[in-house]
Formats: sequence, C-alpha cells, structure tokens
Amino acid sequence: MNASLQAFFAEMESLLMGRQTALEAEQALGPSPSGTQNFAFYRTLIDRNYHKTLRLLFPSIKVLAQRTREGLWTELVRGFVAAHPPRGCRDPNRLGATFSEYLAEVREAKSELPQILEELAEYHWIDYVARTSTNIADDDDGFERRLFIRQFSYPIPAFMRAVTADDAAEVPEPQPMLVVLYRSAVNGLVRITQPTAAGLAALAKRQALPLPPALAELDEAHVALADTKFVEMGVLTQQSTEPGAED
Amino acid sequence: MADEFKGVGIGLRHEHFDEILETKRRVDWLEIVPENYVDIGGRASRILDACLERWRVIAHGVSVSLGGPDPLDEDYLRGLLRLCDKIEAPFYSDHLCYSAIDGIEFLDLLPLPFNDEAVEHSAQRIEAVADRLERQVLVENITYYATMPGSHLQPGAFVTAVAEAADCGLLLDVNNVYCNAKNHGRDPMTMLFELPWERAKQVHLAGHLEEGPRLLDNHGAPVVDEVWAMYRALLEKAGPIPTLIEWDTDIPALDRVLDEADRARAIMDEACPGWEREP
Repeated sequence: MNASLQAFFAEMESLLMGRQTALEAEQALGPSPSGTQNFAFYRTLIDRNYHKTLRLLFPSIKVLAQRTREGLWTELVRGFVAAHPPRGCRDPNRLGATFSEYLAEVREAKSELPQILEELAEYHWIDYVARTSTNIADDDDGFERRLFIRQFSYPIPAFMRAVTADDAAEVPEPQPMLVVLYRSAVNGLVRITQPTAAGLAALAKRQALPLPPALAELDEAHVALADTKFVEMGVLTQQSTEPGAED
Repeated sequence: MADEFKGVGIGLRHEHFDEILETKRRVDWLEIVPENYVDIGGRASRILDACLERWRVIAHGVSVSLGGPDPLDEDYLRGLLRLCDKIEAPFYSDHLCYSAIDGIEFLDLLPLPFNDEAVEHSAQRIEAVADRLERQVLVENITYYATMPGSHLQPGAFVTAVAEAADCGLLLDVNNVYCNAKNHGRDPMTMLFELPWERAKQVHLAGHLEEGPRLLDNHGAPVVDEVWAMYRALLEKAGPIPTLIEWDTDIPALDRVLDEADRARAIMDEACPGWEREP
C-alpha cells in the first residue's frame, strides 16, 4: 500500500472515530468532490451504527439511561466506543463484550450510574453469548461459552422481563441472587436456573474448583444427585468418564 | 441441496427462521451473511443445516474489507473457507470497500478513493482472498454518499479497473447504482452500464430510505419502480443473472419478501424467455 493510501486511512480513522472534523480531514487529504457536508456524513453513519448495535444488544440499559438523564445514553455509547475501540468485532454484536466493564468504570468515576446497569449489561451479554457460541463437543460443559454462573446484587432476570414489558418498570430493591444461565445441551434453548448448594458444589466439581468449607461438607450423594439433575436439564453434559478418573 | 444456482433467491434472516422451513412457496436459493455463521453455533447453525437439505446456499460477506488497510484475517478466512466448502458455495462475494482500520470495525461499508492506488491495492487483496477461499470472488458495487478525497476515476471506471486487475466477478447491486445516481446527480441507467456488467454473476435488488437530501441504502423497503426498470434493462442486455431480494431492516413477513422474489422472477421470464431451461 502506498503512502497516499496509508495517509487516507489514517485520516479517515480519525474522522470516523470523531477525533477530527471532516474539514480537518480535508485539509490533510484535499477536498471531497462531494463537499464537506456529504463527506462528514460518514462520521454520522458510524456513530449511528454503534448506537444501533448497542441499543439492540442492551435495550434495558438504554431505557434506564434515558430515565436517569436525557442524553446519558448517547454519552455512554460515545464514551464506550472511545474508551474501548471496537476491535475484532467482525460480528457487530461482539462490540458489546466489554460494555458491562465500561459501565462499572463510569460508575466508579462518577456515582451517577446505578450498579444495576452493569449487572443488566452482563446479563444481556451472557445471554447473547450463550445463544450464539459455537457448537460445543458433547462431553464439554462449555463454561463461559454456553454456561454461565453469576452472582447479582439485584433480581436481574425478573427486572429484565419487567422493563422489557414496561419502560417505566420500577428498579427493584437490592436482593442478591445466584443465576445459572445456559443453552441447554438437551434442546438448545437458553434458560436460567437458581442452583441449590448441592448444585453449586456439582458445578464447582465439574470445573475442578476447590470447594469452600460450607460446600465441602455436603453429602457426596446429594452433590451427585444435583449433577444428574443438571444433566437431565441440559445445564451440564453427560461425561464420558467419571469425574476425577482422568489423569 | 438443489444443484443449480439460478433464478431468484432471498437472504436467510433470523426473523424468518420460524417460517422459512415451513414455506410452500418457491425459493430458488438462499444467501447467508457468513459472519453470522462462521464459528457461531446454536439455533442459526441448526437452521442453516436444515436449509441446506432443501436449497442451494451462497455466502455474501460484509467484513473481509477487500480494500482495507489491515492484513487479511487469516483465522477468519480459514473459518470462511470451511463454511464455503460446507455449503458448496460456487463463489464468495463481498463489497468493494473497507470496513476496518487498525483493527477498529466501523460496522459499515466505506468507500475507497476512486484512484489507481486503490485499484492496485484492492485487486491484490481480492486475488489473495480468492486464493485463500479456493473459489472466485465477486465484488459488489457499494453505495457511496461522498466521493473520497484523492479520487480521479468515475465510480464505474473504478469498479471496472478493479474487476479487470483482479479478474474477479461482479455482484451488481442495482439499488446501489440507483441511490448513487440520485445522490450524485447522475442518470441511473448510464451509471448502471458504466459498471462491468458483463462480469455480473449475481444481482442484488433492495429498497432504500429517503432521508433529507440522500437516499440511504438501508434494505428496509420494497424495490422501487425505477430499480425494477433498471433490472429489466440489465437482464435484456446481459441475460438471466441469479438475483437476490435483500431485506435487512424493518424485515416483513417472509411472504412479503417472496412477493418481491416472484416479481423479479416474472421480469426474468419476460426479459429472458426460456431462462429456466438453459443449462
């Protein structure tokens, strides 16, 4: 690629990401034969693309942001794209991978944002990933691809349903809850469940994680039963070997 | 899977997943956006497998960035090759544009400057992609809302120069030509035949959105009469070219999209009598 084409792309990146105006880009590259206003339209298009993608991925965040303050949603989208440039998101939805993380960063910097936003964003995201992650081998549980365990401080699934039905749905009081979100290995449908203590122990054992004392004291038979139940539900897969049998 | 790739197809969209396998209406083939299927599982993957039992499926990409500055994504191209092999795609099509710079994806099809440097650069990359995918590449003429600084060629001459340099095929999007003509004050029919139409192996038809002074190529409305007229003129000159109805925004029920496909097929019947019997 020659120098003039390199310069073109460098100036366009700056324009499209909103770091310079169309006029500034034209000063470096020469005028667009279509005029500055038409040239500048490309920045508008790209801004719209990021807004649309994030709105479709995180509809409840947009609703709550707009309720918090007029213009906050646009600030969040533009701030997010500037802070987390959308690299590697050939699937446009991958743009949302770090949105929850960004919302947490903003909340820590200024207290305007409620914590529920980042938890909702995380829930939207794992739901998307569970629906679309590549097909996984029959004996692979697919943690963090098909199967997610999350601790939330609000009743996120119920509030998500409420705000989807009614933009004015009231934000609930904090209520810690543990959620297992999974794409069923049995029927391919995405579901959630709340695990029992024995279920948690079964999930931990599948990942070869050390059990905290309260779970380590559970009856092995109960944990095995929970594992079997999870296999029936499609949360976990049928293992071809007994847990711990492999070296 | 049907062997022949001819007639009129539609895009496989998730909004139609529930309907497509049930339809009794005629669908000659399906086109997928491979970015929605490469290394993606779940329902989309299952529906694609079911569709392959019934229809020929081709792949039309949006993100390889054929004219872009970044190195080709070899991992993605390997996945794309696997998908193209799986669906037995006769070719791979993508847009004559760029969509990323320095890894940043703009989620759009952005115009290159219409000049010799961009011709040479794009042609080299198209040849490389054809090599990686082990099949011919078709480039689609895109909509452009502004001519980029540094351009000295007309858009049709630019597409022709790239297609000749890369010896690739053309995916001729008639609505894009129409939008470009209207947005840049040119005659649509003249712009249509300035493209290397003899290389066209597929046609796209879609609707657009009028927004202020511009026509936006949003694929969110029926095909307009002027575009149908251009399509007829193209077929009368070029013969039957497999044609896709694109509808990607405000997607209606499947039957409405199939109505558009029927209209395209009727025009193909009138413009190219006997096309269905041709080998």
